[in-house]
Order: sequence, then C-alpha cells, then structure tokens
Amino acid sequence: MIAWILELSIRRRGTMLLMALFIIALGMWNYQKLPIDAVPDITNVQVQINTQAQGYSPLETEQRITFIVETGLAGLPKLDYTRSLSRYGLSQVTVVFEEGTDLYFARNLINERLSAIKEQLPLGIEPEMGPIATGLGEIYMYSITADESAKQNNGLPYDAMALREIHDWVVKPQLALVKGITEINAIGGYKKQYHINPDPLKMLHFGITSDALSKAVMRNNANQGAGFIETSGQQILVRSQAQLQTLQDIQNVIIKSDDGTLVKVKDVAEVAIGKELRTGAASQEGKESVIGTAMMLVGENSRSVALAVGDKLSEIQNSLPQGVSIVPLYDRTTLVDKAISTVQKNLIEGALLVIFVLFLLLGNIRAALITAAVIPLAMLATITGMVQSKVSANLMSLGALDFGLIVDGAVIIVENCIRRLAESQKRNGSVISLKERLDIVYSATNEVIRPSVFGVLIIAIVYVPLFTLSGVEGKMFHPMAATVIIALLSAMVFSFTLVPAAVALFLKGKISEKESPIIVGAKSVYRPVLNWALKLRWLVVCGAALLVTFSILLGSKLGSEFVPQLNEGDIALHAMRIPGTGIDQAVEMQKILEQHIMKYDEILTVFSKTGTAEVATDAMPPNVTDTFLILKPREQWPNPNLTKADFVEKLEKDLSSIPGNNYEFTQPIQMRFNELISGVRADLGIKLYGDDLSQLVNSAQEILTALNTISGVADARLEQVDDVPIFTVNPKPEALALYGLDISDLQSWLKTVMSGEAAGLIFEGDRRFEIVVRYPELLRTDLDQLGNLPIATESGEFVPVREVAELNYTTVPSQISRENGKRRIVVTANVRNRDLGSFVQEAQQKIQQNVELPAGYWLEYGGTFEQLESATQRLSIVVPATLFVILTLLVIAFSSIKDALIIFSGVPLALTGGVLALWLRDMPLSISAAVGFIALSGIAVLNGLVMLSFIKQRLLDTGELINSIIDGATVRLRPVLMTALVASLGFIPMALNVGTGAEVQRPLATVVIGGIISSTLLTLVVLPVLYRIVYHKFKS
Amino acid sequence: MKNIKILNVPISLFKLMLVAVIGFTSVTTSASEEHANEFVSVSAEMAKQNGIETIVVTSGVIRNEEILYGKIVADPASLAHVNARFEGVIKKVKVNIGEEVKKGETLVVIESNESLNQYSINAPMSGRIVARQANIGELTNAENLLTIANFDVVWAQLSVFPTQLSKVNANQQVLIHSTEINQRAQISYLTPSLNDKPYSLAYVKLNNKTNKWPLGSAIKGAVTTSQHSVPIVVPKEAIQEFEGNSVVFIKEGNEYHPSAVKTGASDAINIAIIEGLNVGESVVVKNSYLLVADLKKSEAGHEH
Repeated sequence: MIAWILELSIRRRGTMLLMALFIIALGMWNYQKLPIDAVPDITNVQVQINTQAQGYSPLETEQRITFIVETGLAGLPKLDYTRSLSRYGLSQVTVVFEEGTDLYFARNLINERLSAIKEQLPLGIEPEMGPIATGLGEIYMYSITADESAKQNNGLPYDAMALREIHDWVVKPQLALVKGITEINAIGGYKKQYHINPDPLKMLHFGITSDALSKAVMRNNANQGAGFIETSGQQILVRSQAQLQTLQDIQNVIIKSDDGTLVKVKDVAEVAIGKELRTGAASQEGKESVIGTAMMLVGENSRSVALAVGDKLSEIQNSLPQGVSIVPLYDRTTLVDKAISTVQKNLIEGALLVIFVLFLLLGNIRAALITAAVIPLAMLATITGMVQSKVSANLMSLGALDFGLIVDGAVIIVENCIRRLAESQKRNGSVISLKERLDIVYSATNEVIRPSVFGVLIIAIVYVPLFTLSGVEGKMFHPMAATVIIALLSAMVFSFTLVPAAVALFLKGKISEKESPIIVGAKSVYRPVLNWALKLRWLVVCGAALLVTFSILLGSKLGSEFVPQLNEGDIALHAMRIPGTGIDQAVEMQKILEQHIMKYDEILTVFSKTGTAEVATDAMPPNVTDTFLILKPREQWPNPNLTKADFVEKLEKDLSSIPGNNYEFTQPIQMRFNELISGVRADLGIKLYGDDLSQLVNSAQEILTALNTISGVADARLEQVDDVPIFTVNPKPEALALYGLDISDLQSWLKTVMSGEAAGLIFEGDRRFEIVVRYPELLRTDLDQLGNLPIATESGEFVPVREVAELNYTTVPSQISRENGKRRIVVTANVRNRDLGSFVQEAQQKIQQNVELPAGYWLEYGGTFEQLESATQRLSIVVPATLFVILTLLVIAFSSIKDALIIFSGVPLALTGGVLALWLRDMPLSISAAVGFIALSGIAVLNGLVMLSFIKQRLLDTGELINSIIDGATVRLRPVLMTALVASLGFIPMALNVGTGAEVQRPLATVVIGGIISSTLLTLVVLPVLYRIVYHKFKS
Repeated sequence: MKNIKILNVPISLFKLMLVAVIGFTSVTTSASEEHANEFVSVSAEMAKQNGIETIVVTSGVIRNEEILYGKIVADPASLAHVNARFEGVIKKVKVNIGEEVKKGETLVVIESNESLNQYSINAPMSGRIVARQANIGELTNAENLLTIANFDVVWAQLSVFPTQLSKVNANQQVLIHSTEINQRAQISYLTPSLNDKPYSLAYVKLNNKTNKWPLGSAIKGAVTTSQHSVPIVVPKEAIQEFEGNSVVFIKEGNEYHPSAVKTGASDAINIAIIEGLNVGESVVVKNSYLLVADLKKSEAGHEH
C-alpha cells in the first residue's frame, strides 16, 4: 500500500504540495484553539461542594451539613469517592469522579441531588458547588489599594472595608463577565455591615429582648408593590416605600410604644457601620489589603484569558474613585509566555541546527530545505492532532518534541534519493529526464521506505507504555506521549508522500551532491576502524558488554527524582501558626513577616491570603497563610548568579528567626495542585473508619504501635487532628425553666451576642448590606464576663447567663475529616530497604493480631503501594508486549529473528551513553530522563535498522560477507551520522537552555544526546561485528 | 496528613527501560519532636517589632467582683399622701404639681363639713408635689389630695441570684452603674424577694439630691466580694497553655524560657502565682502567644 501511495504522491506531486498548503491552513486555524499553559493539568475530575454555616462548630457542621450532603451524593454514577472536611463555619465535600467523566455532567448530577436534600439542611444553609476550575484556574490576582491622601465621600481615608466594597460592587461584577472566567474570589478587608449593638442595661430598662429588637428592624424595612389600578384609561402602579436607607433610618425604627413613649432603636442600641466576622484576610507588603483572584473556566486558554483579565482591569480602573487603583499581582501570562518562549527557543534553535547539519552533510541546500520543511508541517499537523485529542500545549507535552527525531525518516529518504540521483547523473554525465528522475525518486524512496517507516513506527511504539501510567503521572506524561506520537506519525506520513513529491518536483537540474569533507573524513577514519573491529570482534563484543554492565551499575548509583520541578519563577510560602490562632493575630504576624520579606532586593512584591476566601476553594484555617513572593527578574537581583533554590534557602533560614511561624516553601501552581489532589502519598496508608473521634484516635494509636514493630518501617505517623480551644455555654434546663426560658431562647440569645442575628438588608442601589444585631465588641469579646450578662425573660425580668448555663473552656478537633461518608483517620508509613508487598502483608497480619477494633470500625489499606502495585503489574505486561511488538516489526522488516536481535543490541548500547551523560551532568534519574531513554531506544533501533537493511541487501547482491559489511556500513555511514546528528543536535538547545521550564526538559535532552552519541559510535562498530559473528557461516 | 509536594518530593522512582527494570523508592520527611528544655530566642529588635513586652513581677492585690443587675426604687419613706382629716370642701390649694414644699408649709385649706370651720393642712415633709387630685370647690371625699415625694434618697435594688448569694453580703462595697454615671456605695442589707422570686434583693442606699437616679432605671452593680494581697501577681495575659501546663515566659537576655506555674486566685485583670515565678523576674505580658506559638510551631501544619 505504501508503494502505491508513494507512486501516487510522485505522480500527483503538485496536488501533494497543495495538500501541504491545506495542512498549513488547518494547523494555523487549530493553533487559535489550542489551549496553552505552562504545565499539564493534573487535577482529577472533582467537584467541591462548599457550605458556609456561620457560627457552626466543626461538630455541628459535620453532623448537620456534611453528613447530609455526603449521604445525598451516595450512589452517583461514575463516582470515585467523596471526602470531606468540617471546620468552624465551613463544610467542604469534595466529590471525585472517575477519570474521563464529563465535568458538566457530574455537576448536573450533583446539582440535582443538592436540590433534593435542601429540605434536610438547617434553614438558611445553602450548599454551593465550587467554581468550574482546575488547579490551573488561578490565573490572575490583583489587589485594590488607595493612596494615603485619597478620601471617601464621607471624608475618611479608604480602609480595607471601603476597598472591599469597591471590589465587590465595582470591580467584581465587571470582571466576572470576561469570557473564560468562572469566578472572582475575593479575600481581605471586611464586608460592610450595618450593626445594631444593643446595650443590655438599656434593653433591661425598656424590657426589650434582643429578639424583639431584630424583629422590629426586620418588620419595618420593606417596600411593597401592590398591583395597579386604572384611572381614566391610565394604569397607575401602587407601591408602599419603607425601606431603610441610612443609619438614621435604622436608629429611628420604633421597637415598641411604652405608655405613649416610643422606644426607638437608638434608645437601646448604638447603630454603626461594622465589620463582618471574617474567616479570611489579605495583606500586601505588610499592610491589610483586598485581593481578588480570577479563576479560569476549565479548558480555557490561560494565556488569552489572563490577558483579557488584565485588559479588563485597566478598563475598570477608569471607573474607580480618584486615588483608588487596581494593582496586578500575579499574572499567569508571564509564566506561560516564559515557558512557551523556552519551548519556542528550543524548537527554533533545534530546527535551525537540523537544517544546518542537513546542509552540511547533504551538501545540497534544496534537499536540506525539503527535509527541513517537514519540521513546520509536522508541527502544524501535531497542533491539529493535539486540538483534536484535547491535549494542551505546555512544557511537558511539547517538551519531548525533537525535530531531529521527527525528520529522521525524511532524512533517510532524501539522503537516498539525492545519492541515487547524483549517481545516475554522474553515470549519464548530463541532466536526467523527468521520467527517469521520477523513477529514480520512486525506487530510491522505496528502497529505504521500509526501514524508515518501521523505524519511526518503532520510535512511536516505545512511547506507548507511557499511556499505562495512571493518576498524576499519567496526566503529566500522557500528553507528552500523545504529542510525540502524533508528531512522529505525521512526519512519517509526510516522509512517503510530501517528501518524495517535493524531491521529484524540486530536485531537478544539476544535482550538486558533494560528499562533504566531514563525511569524507569520517569515512576515511571509519573504514580502518571497522576493519580492525571485525578482526578483533570478540574483544569488541566483550568491551561493549562490559560497558553496558558498567553503565547499569552507574545507573543504579544515580539519585532519583520524580519529575524535575518546573520553576514557576515565583515562590508560594505557607506560613503556619499553631492551630487555634485567631485571624487577627495571624494577620499581625503576617504583617511582620511581609515587612521582613520586603527587605530583600530580590522581591518585587509580597502578598498573602490568610484563612478562607469568600468562595472556599481552598479551605484553610485562619492560622495558615498562603504567602506569594513575586520575584524580580534574575538580572535585577543584587547577585544575579544566585539561583532561586539558594535564595529560598537563605530566605528560609532568615525567616525562621521570626517567632511563631513555621514555613513550607512551594510555588503558586504547585500549591494549588497540592490543595486539590490531596490524598495519601506515603507508601502505605491505613485508613480507619468509625464514629467516635476519640475511639478513632485510640485505635489509630494502637495501629501505629503495631506498625512500628515491623522491620523496614519508616516515618510511621498518625494523621494529625489538631485541637482548638472552644468555649461552651451548656444550658441548665431546670434553671432555664425556673425563669420561664427554654434552651432555644438561650441559644438564640447567645448567637445574637456572639455572632449576631441577621435582621434584613440595606440597599444602596445594587449594593446590599446586611443589618446585624450583635452585642458591642467589648461585651462579646470578654468571655469571663459573659456569664454576668443578663438575659431578658418572658415576664420582662432578667437572669444572668451564669444562672442558667454552665460556662466552660474545653477543646474540640479543629476539623473533622471524612471519606466515603464516614469519619476517618489515617496512619501512614513508608518502607525502607524492604519490598513493599511483604511489608504490607506483615502489617496486615500484625494489625489483625494486635489491634482489636470495636464493632462498627473498619480498616482500609491504601497508599502509593496500591498504585505502585498496579503500575508494576501493568508495566510488566505492557513493556514486554511493547518489546514484542517492536521485535515483531523488526522480524517483519527482515524476515529474520537473528537480524531483529542484532538490531536490538543497539538498545543497551544506547543506554550506556544516556546514563553516562546524566552522571556527567550530575542529574538524577527521573521520569523525564526515563522518557529520554524511551526515545533513545527508538532511535537506536532506527539506526541499526538503516545499517542492517543495507548490509543485508549487499550480502544478498554480492554474497560476500566481509566486503558487504564494510561496504554497506560505509555507504550507510552518512545517513546514520545524519540521523544521529540531527536527533542529538535538535535536543542541544533543550539540554543547555536555562530559561523557565527548561528544568523539565533538560534531563530528557541530556539522556538523548548522550545516548545517541554512544549508540551511533557503537552501532557503527558493534553492529557490523555482531553481524559478522552471527553470519560467519553465511554461504551465498 | 502531611502536605504533599506532588511534584518535587521524590515519591517514586520509575525506571522504565527496555530491560523492564522497575523500581520504586519513597521518601517523606520525618519530624522529630523533642521538647526538653526549650526556650525561644528573640532579638531585642524582633521583640520590639512583634510587640513582646515584659514587666517585673511584683506583689499585688486580687480583687473579686460579682456583677448584679437591678433597678432604682423609691425609699418607702420618701412619699407622703396628703389627706383631709375632716371631710369638707376644698377652699384653697396653695401649691401645684411640681412645686417644692417645705415641711410645715400650708398646702390646702378645707372647710370642715361638721364645724364649717376652715382648717389648713401643712406639708408633712419637705419634697416635691408629684400628684394633685384636689381642686377648689371639690369635696375631699376621703381621697388623696396631694402627693409629696422626696427622692433625695433612693435605693438601688439589685437581684442576687443563687450562685451569687454566698458571696454577696451587707456592707460590701459596690459600684453602681447606670448608662451614664457611676457611684460608689455600700450594700445596706439583703432580703429575700417577697413575691416568690428565685433571687434575693440587695439594697443600696443612694443619694439622689441631684436627681441623677430616676426611679425605675436599670442599673448594674459591681460588688467587691473579696480583696486580698498576694505575694506574686501577674496580668492574666501572661499565662499561656503549653503541653498541658500553665506557663509564663521569663526573659533572660534575649531568651524567653517557659516556666510552668501554679496559679491561684484571679480577678478580671490579674492572677496570683503560687509557684514557678519569683518577684523581680521579668515576665512577658504582651504577645506571649507568639512565644508559645514558636515553641509549638513544629505542630503547625497545613491540612487539606
């Protein structure tokens, strides 16, 4: 079939080139739609359900909200698992679906369930789904700041509350309309509220309960439409207007009339603008601030959305009051641009190098250009393929693309064509006719099409095992494998359609094929070496075997790393305080921290988010602060040679001198991923499910003890459940009854005192603000005095709280974690110097013997060991299967198992160079490097294939072994050197680049370059030797 | 759950070569937790920046208070209703509502029905006329003619609930507070409340010459129930919880050492220290939370 296509391509060469134009156009069109980001999205298919419940303690949240939501979701189709946490005022249920589930389908299902359970939830509690975004969603952050001199309408300077109001009602509504934005999440400042602070003594005086106060405000704050009437044909609407509008309006609300004296709100309470009880705060460079985060809709192009947000923000700037400005803090565009420019630089430099090498070795600029033309075409075809298979462009997916590798097939074909054309020209001594030319192109292509197609196919196939990686690794490497395979296959198709067509079309006239001096020189060296090697063949083979053994040993000494971390260029820093730290205390500590950080000249700005934002995409307690350190470009650092890692180290050391903070350094995107994909990452995770929290802790402790007795255990630990202090007001029912009260009277009173009772809304145009009845700050914050506060009773008398309730300090868990609808606690452990399987088995046995679990409690064994097991299992099938397929292909190509095996010998030889290169550059073994090895094995096979097929051809033609080997090998020296050179030179920019994102690609490129050098050298020497050994009995 | 660095902690090494060598290792950081003899060092500058303040420990006074609520009531002796001794016709009313009268001043003149003589009724006490039913020409009909009130002295009636009863006694000092004013006074006596209420009543006599205590006003009374000197006293803010103990932080140079203390009586501001602290030592009174936080910070983690 290939022959037929080839023939057609040469005959219809003009049409073929038109096809190329079509491919270019299609590729360009698809490029507009290609999602571009810095890193692959490793978020699983998940939906967060957040429920805000002001005032609820962790236990109430769990019991009254989380449980209901969780059970409501049970049995959803394609559900993988649910996990939840219940904190003060927040229930967060994360629903994870099976891979490949459509997110919108999942959200629809959840929506349906949520509306069904709405009635079971306490009044006023509304579960909400988190934004439709992934870990890459936080693409833009900005703060709202005001000049010191700027004044509000009321003459006061702008404070955090005023800025928050501007953000919520001016900035956010406009920004939320930007296409591709799903949520604008604000943190910082305070939401403006209208506070009514009753004075308990005055309330007693007039015999007013706080309930009566809030009811009065609620009942006297409404507009009412009352239909219409028709008068003389005219329709007149009827309306009653009594909405409260100002502080004075609230003050003048009448609570009751006492013997003709009107008791108004102002007689018993102060009315003022007040602060909400906030769960999150923001600061910037040591000052309180308001920070907005734009979240990108899943699947959008982060670069273009971030750009659109930036544009919109500068537009919004015009509508802000004098002196108030929006300051962009974090813009994903920067990172994406840097990463993309790294990739671009690598690809363009690689392509130029490839063209240069082709020209140098082919000595024909047209042939070089034809071959090089495959590069942009393959790129555009790859983009089309990526869009079709929904792969996004990023450092990982584009990271393994090597144009040298991609043009290998074309190189072989063009090289052969040009050689044959030149030969025939030399024979005829004149320009050859068109028909002759076409014939030569056809036969020359046909001659090498098999090895080249097979070779490329094999390179593509070796990427297949990457598809069996699952989870996070899968998400990172599937796009890479997919992109490479698409690129290789499209280049392969071009190599037997477009390339011969172009050769036939453009390589007319006098063919200048000069053996370049390099090749001539190489040949003159190669011949004697080959001769010598064939004589000392056993020595060569033993040497090669030794080399392979040595490199395997060396390989096992290399350090290991998962994936080299992409340097995002910025630092994200968790500043953690002890559990139970209040938000204001945390903010104070954070301000000092930020002032300290700003002393560094490397820092452009620092900003932070403490606690949980308005939309709880990251449910953090108030003792934790996400601090973002935006760094200046390296050139502007006092010492531009300092690496980021060194800087982080210096910073960490210095910051530890600030009392009360603990730190964890990470990077913005990395942090977000960690937040979303939490799970057990230790080797073994034992999940204990049950009801009673203290029983769970006790049993987990026993499990931990049992684990610690097993040999090979390391870092065994119990998931930490932090206790936070809590102040309890437990009613004494008899005492309450004595004074004519009941428990709900006490509790609603307590709520009014502490967190406040909502009493309607104040509208200012679109803006709406809550009216809250809450006791004055001085009274509510003094818990020692709380017992002395009087509660009004039915009869208009009063009783101090102490009389009717038990007041105590105690502790509760700061959060309750659940999984799959049950409370759980996790014991984790790692394993050292022992195989995981037997360790897990022993652990299970020991725990069964030594730990007695009460009824209703059960265990689940999980952790990475599970993934490792399944990955090992899959790989142990897939890798041999892949090898088998490659062998089969080789056998098909040569109809000989011997030949196939000889070619295969190139693989271990190639690996030696890869290992050596890693060792020389002091790089650890990582998955990126492993991918390099994969590519390498493909290239090695291709090299061997090209050489062997020729030797074999010669042998069949001449029947003379030694001469066939030497002649064949010499003739093939040029293509082998060329493919090797282009493939390795194509990776050189990648190996040397230090730009953003280069750290991900560097190991891969290093391995390939090292491996190709060794594999080429060894293929040229060892392969003919092996052939000689295997076929020494050959008789024609 | 330890925070997981998905991307950069070497979690698993996955070597995939054609020889199909697959190996895995895992690394997670381990944290050792030792608390023996810990202290926090903070430079003077850092302490200032963080608002860490110390005072020198001294002796002091612990003053306990009980808060009572109640209202202003009239002295039963402060009210006089003026009646006619002999029934008759009212001939003259010399005072009107709101006027001040002196004791013995003539208020009303009445013509007796029996004797047809006129006689005058004098003010039984000094005070102000607060009610007037009598008008010229009317018959007295055994009704009140005038009411004189004298609120120069009023009583603060404070409810003493059962849990407070054992601590509140007569003669204790009390600070009476209404919305506007404060007044020091003494509890005069305690009585059970008459109408079967579950609380007792404490009465405090208040001078009301300037009329600042209107009858019926709600008031709050802070009763000093006990007061005694103790050898060592620190502000309550100095005490922090650490590893199950109450600790204070003693400053030695730039080092802040936690010292477990045994605490005694306390009031709203101060707390007595029985053991673990000596007079003359410098103890942190402001932002000591930071120091505990620093000691405990290895526990500070981030869970998701």
